[in-house]
Order: sequence, then C-alpha cells, then structure tokens
Amino acid sequence: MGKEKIIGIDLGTSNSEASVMVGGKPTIIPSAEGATVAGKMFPSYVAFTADGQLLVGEPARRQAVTNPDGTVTAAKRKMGTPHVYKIYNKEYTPQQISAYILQKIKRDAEAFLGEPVTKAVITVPAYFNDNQRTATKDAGKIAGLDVVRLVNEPTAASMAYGLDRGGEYKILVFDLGGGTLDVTIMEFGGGTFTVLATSGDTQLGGTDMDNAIYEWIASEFKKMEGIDIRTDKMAINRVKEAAEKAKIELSTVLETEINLPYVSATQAGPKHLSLKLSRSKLEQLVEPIIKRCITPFETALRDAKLTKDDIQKVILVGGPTRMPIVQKFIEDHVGRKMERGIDPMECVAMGAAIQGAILGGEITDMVLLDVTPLTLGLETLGGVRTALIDRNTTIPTKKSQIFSTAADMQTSVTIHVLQGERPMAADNVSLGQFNLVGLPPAPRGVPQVEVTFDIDASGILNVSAKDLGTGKVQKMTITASTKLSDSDVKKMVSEAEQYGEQDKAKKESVEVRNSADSLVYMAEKTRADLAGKIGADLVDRLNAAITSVKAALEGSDTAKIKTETEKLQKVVGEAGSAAYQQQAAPGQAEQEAAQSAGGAQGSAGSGPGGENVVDADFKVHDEK
Amino acid sequence: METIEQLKKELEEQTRLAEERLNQLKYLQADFDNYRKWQAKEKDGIIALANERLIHDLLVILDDFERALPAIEQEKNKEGMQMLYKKLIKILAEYGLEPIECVGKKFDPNFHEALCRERCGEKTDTVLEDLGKGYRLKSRVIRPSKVKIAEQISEERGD
Repeated sequence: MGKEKIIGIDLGTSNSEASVMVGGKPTIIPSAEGATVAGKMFPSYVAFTADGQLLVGEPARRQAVTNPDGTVTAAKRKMGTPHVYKIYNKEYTPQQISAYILQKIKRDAEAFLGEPVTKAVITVPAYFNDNQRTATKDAGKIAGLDVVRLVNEPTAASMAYGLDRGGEYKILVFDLGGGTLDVTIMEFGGGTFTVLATSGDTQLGGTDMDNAIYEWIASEFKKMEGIDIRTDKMAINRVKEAAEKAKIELSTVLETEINLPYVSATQAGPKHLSLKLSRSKLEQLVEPIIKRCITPFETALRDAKLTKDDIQKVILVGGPTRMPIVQKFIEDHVGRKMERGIDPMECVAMGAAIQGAILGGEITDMVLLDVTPLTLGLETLGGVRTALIDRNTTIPTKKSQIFSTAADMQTSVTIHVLQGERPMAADNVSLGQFNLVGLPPAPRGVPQVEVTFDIDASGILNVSAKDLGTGKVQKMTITASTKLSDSDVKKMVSEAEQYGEQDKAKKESVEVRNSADSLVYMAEKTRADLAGKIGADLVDRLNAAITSVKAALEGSDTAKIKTETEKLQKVVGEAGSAAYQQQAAPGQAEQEAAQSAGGAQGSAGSGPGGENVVDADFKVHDEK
Repeated sequence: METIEQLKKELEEQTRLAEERLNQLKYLQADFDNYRKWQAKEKDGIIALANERLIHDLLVILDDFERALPAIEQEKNKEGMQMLYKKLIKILAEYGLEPIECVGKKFDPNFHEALCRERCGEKTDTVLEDLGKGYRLKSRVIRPSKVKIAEQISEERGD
C-alpha cells in the first residue's frame, strides 16, 4: 500500500540519527535501545567482541573502554580513504563500518514504520569530496539501502527551517557537535543551494566543554576537602555525568546545584560534593573553547569573499548550540538573529527526511498545505465576535455551528462575517454580511440556524446560513479572505495581544448584559407561568427585581448589572422552589423552568443561558 | 476539425490530471489514516516514556540511599532510613523497575557498561564489581550497570 517511504539519515562522526515523514511532518526515528543522554541520537560506535559478536551504537560504546582493539569510532573521518581497520584478524573498510550503522538505522526504521525500508537520503559534510561521497553511497549499498541522494548537512539543516521555499539569501550554518565544528556559507536562489565556503575545527565541540566543567568541579572539591577525585575511577564517572547534566540544565536556568553525596570517603567519614554552578561561571569556563570558534568563522567568510553584513540567515546545528553563550557569540558576530523553532540536534536528519519525501513524490505543490492566517467568525448579540475557524487552521476546512435568535418573533438574522483576533466584532475586519429572512415567528432561542464556513484549498471562503426549521438557505462567497499581506496579518495579531486585557473587559461587559437580558426574559416567562402558584409577596419581589435589572441595563455600570442580575437570579430561584412546595408533584414544565433558572445562574458572565443548544444569539436585525 | 482535436487533447489532459489528483488524494487519505493509527500508538508510547524519564531521574536518589546507608552510625537512624529506602524501591518496583544483576555474570554490553578491566584469576569478561547499579524498567534497560570486568592472567581460557 502507498508509496515507499524514503528515510533521511544524519550519519555523524560521533552520533547518528534518522528521520522520516509521518503525516506530513519529519519525525525522528527512535533508537531501539531507547533515549540516551544525547537525546534520540545514538553514538556512531561499531564493535566486534572477542567471541565474534557485532555491536552497534550504545552497546558498542559501553564496552569500548575494555575492548579498544575491537571498537571503531569516528569511521566517518576515514571515509573515502584507503584506510583499513584490522579487527581480530579480519579487515574492514570504513564503508563497511558505516554500513553497520546504517543497517541498525534501517532495522530501527522498519520497526518504527512497520514496513520494509530500502531507500534513503544520507547527509554528508559540505566539504566531502567525490571519494568520500562515493564511499558514503557504497556504505548505503552494503547496508541494503538505495541511496537516492546525498545531501550536504548544512543544506539539510536549511531545509528543516524551510529555507528552500523561495527567496534568495546567503546562509551561515554553524554546526557545533560533540567533537567537531563545521562552518558553512551557502547561497540559496532559484531553488538550489550553492556552497560558497566551508571551514571548521575537527577537534572542537561539546566534549571539551564537559571536560572544562569536570576540571572545575574536581579542583573546587580539592580546595574544599583536600581530596583529588581524579584518582577515583568511580567518582570520575559520577562527576563527568554531573558536569554534562549541569551544562544542559544551565541552558534553561541561571543556576544549578551539583549534588553528589558520598562521592568520596576519608578516615574521618564520608565526603559529599555540593556545588553551585551559575550560568555566568559556566560561560567563564567555556569561554576559551568558544573563542576557538572565531578563526573558522572568519576563515569561512573570507573564503566566501563576504562580510558578515552579507549574511541573511543564520542556522545553528548541534547540541552545544543550545547554550545561550554559543547563540550570543554567533548572533554578536554576524549581527543577526538565528533562525529558531527546530531542535538543533534533529534538524539535519529532519531536512534529509524532507528531501526524501520530495524525491519520493510525497510532497508536491498540491500537498503543500496553507493555513488561515486569521480567525474567521461572525457577529453575535451585543457586538461580540464568535469564532468559527481559528487562525492557523490548515485549509481546506469546513465548520458548522448552530445559532438562534435574540428576540421573540424575530424573522430575520444578519450574518456578519469577520476576520481578526479581537473579541469584539467592531475591532475586526468585516468581510461582508447578508441576511437570512423568512424565519417563522417564534420565541427567542427557538429557531435553529446552522451557519457553515467552508474554506477551499485556494483560500476562498463560502459562508452559508440554513434555517433548520424551513430549510431556507442563504449564501455568500468571499474571495478576499486570505488576501491580506503578511504585515497586515502580523499587525492584527499583535494588536490582539496588545488590546487583550481591554478587549476582555469589553467582551465581559457585553456578556454580563447579555446574560442579564436573557434572565429578565426568563423571569418574565416564569412570572407568567407561575401566576397564581406563588404568593403575592414573591410576585412583588420578582417584579421589583426585574425592574431593577432593567434599570441597570439602561446604564453602563457593568458591576451594577451583575449584582442586580444575581439578585434577580435568587428571586427567580425562590419562585421556582416555592412553586414546588405548593405542588406535591410538580409538573414537568415547572421543573424545567426551575432548572433553566439555575442554569442561567451557572452561566452568568459566560454567555446567555437556556436549555437550548444555543451557543450564541444573533444581533437583532434592524430592518433597513 | 482542429478545435475538436484540441478539445480532445484538452480532455485527455484534464482526465489525466483528474486521475493524478484522485491518486494523490487516495495516498493522502491513506497517509492520514495511518497517521491516526500511529498517533494512537505514539500516545501510549509517550505515557510509558514519561514514566521512564521520571523513574530514570529518580534513580540517583536510590544511589544516594545506597551510599548513605552504610555511613549512618546510629542504629535507630539507620533503621529508619532503611525503611524509607525499601518503601521507595517497592513503589518503583510496582511500576516495573528492577535492578540488573551483574557480579559474577559474563559481561554483556546490552546490560552493562564496562568502566575498567582488572587482571585476576577470574575468567575473562566476568563482572567483578558493580560500580553503579543498573536498572531495567519493564525489561527495557533504562540505565546499564557500570562494572569492572576481569581479564584472566593465565593464557588458557575456558572452564
């Protein structure tokens, strides 16, 4: 069934991972051994044990210390060279070693997708030459994968950020991994990425930072306790783990505590390690490492014959680029903000998956889905905007909702279509309005009008209103609905944020009025229904309460309307229960009346109540 | 005649296009259906994973207990701490946490992480010491045991 998925593989020097398009989004394929400290990536380790077992990934790393002769790491650095690994009297080329890693990825992908995987896109550094590229393709072949394309790592990262969808710009990709730094400058235009220059440092990365933190912890501990933990294998391990954890934590918090109880012991008893590490201290510790990034950065710019002002997009790749100091370093040096929103550790694999989907025909022009930039809704009682289709909804889409009338014997409703983020109708853009006429006269809230918003794939909005009682339909087509420019959209969204509080208050005041209004209606109905069933004293109080709410509604004091409404609510409730007490077995009608009074109380402030499926009422249409 | 030819061509083109679009629609529908199924599976996975993360992060507390217990001198305090420790282990065990056995077994990188090797009389690759307890959660290794393994001094290997 379906087209075969083409997976995207980030075959890294120290870590590897793969991604595949699922439901139109690139998704990282989990490694069978589960997540490691490095996230979903797994270490690019391959090992052969003395008894002939093959190990790949985490298990291979776990035995590396005790089996150095049988363990291969960083085979990527030997790709395309005549290097041969001699392991337990057998010979392996770098391609073969890489193939073992690719085979593991293939297995994981098949387990994840539940279908065979035979095609892949693999990423390579931009500076890889023909030999290295051929070797990578061969590794795929050995692993049983048809490598449909090799993609440069910085290109894949740019694709993950959607930079391949038009425009023309120069991109700087700063890829700081566990042990290597690659700086690439590219140009995008006419649908293709061109590499202008590459530079880097093959011995610079996050591991150096972990070591700097580790050294600091060890020396601090020695200062405090006089013990050198660097001689205790077990303590070293705990401190190193704590150092990496602290580094990761300090990307999101300003201070962290390194707590290692019973890390060591002397004659005097156990020793605990407890240290506070602040982000500024960490930044001080790693500064020498970050300074080493300057040279490759400047070399790349010089080789590309550009200055920093020519760069329009900055992309960061690799775990250590999550550190605020690294981000600041780059942004300061380029004088431009980095692109955000994609995990820097996953973007290369994700970009490869996107490339795979394009090559596999999964992504075509037609399937590139658009979204509505702004909320679409209509005006309801009291000038409130009621949303039907929220902003950022993927189109085509269709939504229906049932509305009702706001007055007794109302025979027409106005559908006023609005676009925008503000809760009050008047603050949004009006897209047009039309009337649905000929509703049979009925008490308010009884007629059911189904309003449908239907946006087709090209962004054309069809609005229809149907009276479910008579089957009468009225329609309107709006073509300009999504024709707003990007800056208009941005302005409208930011205005909504800016006026958020004010709008909320306004909307609330309308809601209070609406609910007061509907309670008066209900109270008058109750009074009529219960005539003769409740005492004169109660009728008087009911009348008085109704009058005060009406009086309050004349004015504009929301708080007063609210308190008067609450008072009336109470009296209506009393009237309801009084009617019950009068009759041992109350009729269905009274019971309902009592319930709806209670219901109105519950929804006071949140919109008009009532036992109908009424979501909101239409504003009364004034005959023109 | 020419217009008929042209219309014919156009019709062919449109038919082809319609078929192509229908085909795309079918794929999209199938993809969506699969996505829904995958989402349901993923949800179960996320719940399991959320527990896994929490329990993994709690392991350091278990470690601290194990280091603290032998160091407590007052018998009464020790007893109380022991009770706390057992209670915590019991709760975690109910969620499927179990320690990985290692000392005396053959080193297996699927469960153990070797930190060092020691030349001794034991058979090569035998786990000599548990330097950091490993744990399994519902048969999945969430933290491998950190171990010291043996390297037999004599050349002859075997039983």
